[in-house]
Parts: sequence; C-alpha cells; structure tokens
Amino acid sequence: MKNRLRSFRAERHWTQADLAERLGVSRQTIYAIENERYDPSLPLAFEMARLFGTTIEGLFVYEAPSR
Amino acid sequence: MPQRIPVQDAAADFKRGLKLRSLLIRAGYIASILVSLAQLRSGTLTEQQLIVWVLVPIPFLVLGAWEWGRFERAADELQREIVRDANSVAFRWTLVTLCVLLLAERAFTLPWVVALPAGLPPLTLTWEGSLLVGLLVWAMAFARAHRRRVGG
Repeated sequence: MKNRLRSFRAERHWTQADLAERLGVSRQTIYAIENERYDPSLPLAFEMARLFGTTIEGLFVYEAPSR
Repeated sequence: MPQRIPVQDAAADFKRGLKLRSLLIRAGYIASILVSLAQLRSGTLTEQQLIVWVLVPIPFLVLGAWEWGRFERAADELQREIVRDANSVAFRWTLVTLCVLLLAERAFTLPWVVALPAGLPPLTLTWEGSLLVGLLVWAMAFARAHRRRVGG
C-alpha cells in the first residue's frame, strides 16, 4: 500500500528512530512501512494518523488490485 | 526503489539485538546439549550418571523457552509478523523434509526395496537429525520472512 509517511516525517525533521520511539515500534517497522514492504495494523495506522494530525486516508493510499 | 538502511543504524540495531543474557543462555543451551550428548554416547556412565547428564540441559531448555516468550511479548507487530511467517513456512517445510527423509530411510534400510550401493553406511534418521532439520528449515524460513519485510 502506498503511503506518505516519509514526507510527513521529513516535514517534522524526524528520523525513523524518532518516529519509531513516538509510536512504540521498532525502527525496522517504520523502514518497512515507508518502503511499502509492510502494511501496518489498523491500530498502528490510526496512531500514525493521529500523530501527524491527519486521517488514515491522508496517510495511506489504497489501490485495489487489478482484476 | 527501497531506501537502504544506513550502516550506522544497521549496526546499532544489531547491537541492540545482541542481548548478552540471551546469548549466554543460547551458548549454554547448545554447549550443555553437546556435552550431555557426548557423555551419554561415551558408554562408560553408571545409571546415576546417565540420569544426571540427561537432566543437565533441561534448565537451559526452560530458560530458552522463557527468553523466547519474553522476546515475543516485547516484539512489535512487524517482528511478530516475521516470526509468524517463519513459523508457518517452517512447519510445512519441516514436515515435507522429514517425510522425504523418512521415506528415503525406509527405502534404503529395507534391502528388498532399494539395494544400498556397496560401501555406503545405512541412511538413518536420528532424533538429533530430525531436530537439526527443523532448526535449519526454521532458520531459512526466518531469513526469508525477514528479507521479504525488511530487506537486506
């Protein structure tokens, strides 16, 4: 799933480790989400949206698989 | 294009992952099993000594299981997902590998099924061998799951 996590993080001049600490996850998790290798759980997605003052839709872009 | 993890970050992660106590428990666990197996195979032990050497690795086994549980409780959702992926793949492939080895063992140890080439020792699947197969498959499954999610 595409996301704007990296740009939201860059706007605040946070490192991946800073964001990981604020969310209570490992830096690897932030790395994996930013590189679209891992889709976070719904609670973590809500936490991220709340932290950046946006909505889940503002942070993540869902693209339905082509049929 | 995936972003690469800076070397310093990767090194810091690696150092954090290497918890001294866990390492000591794992080293003690492996050493105790190896020493215990060597003693049990020596064939020179009395009954009491046999019981002692059977019991020696058990505290390390229990500690290892406790450490594993502690790691899983402290893990975040990605780490849990990696372990879940690894467990799921490893379970299936360990079963498949053990079944293939078992069939091969049966084929080669029953001389009327397949004649064993001259000079070759009989193929036997031991408890230790089965355990090693399981551990090896799990390690490969973990590496695969980790590479899929985190890369590198």
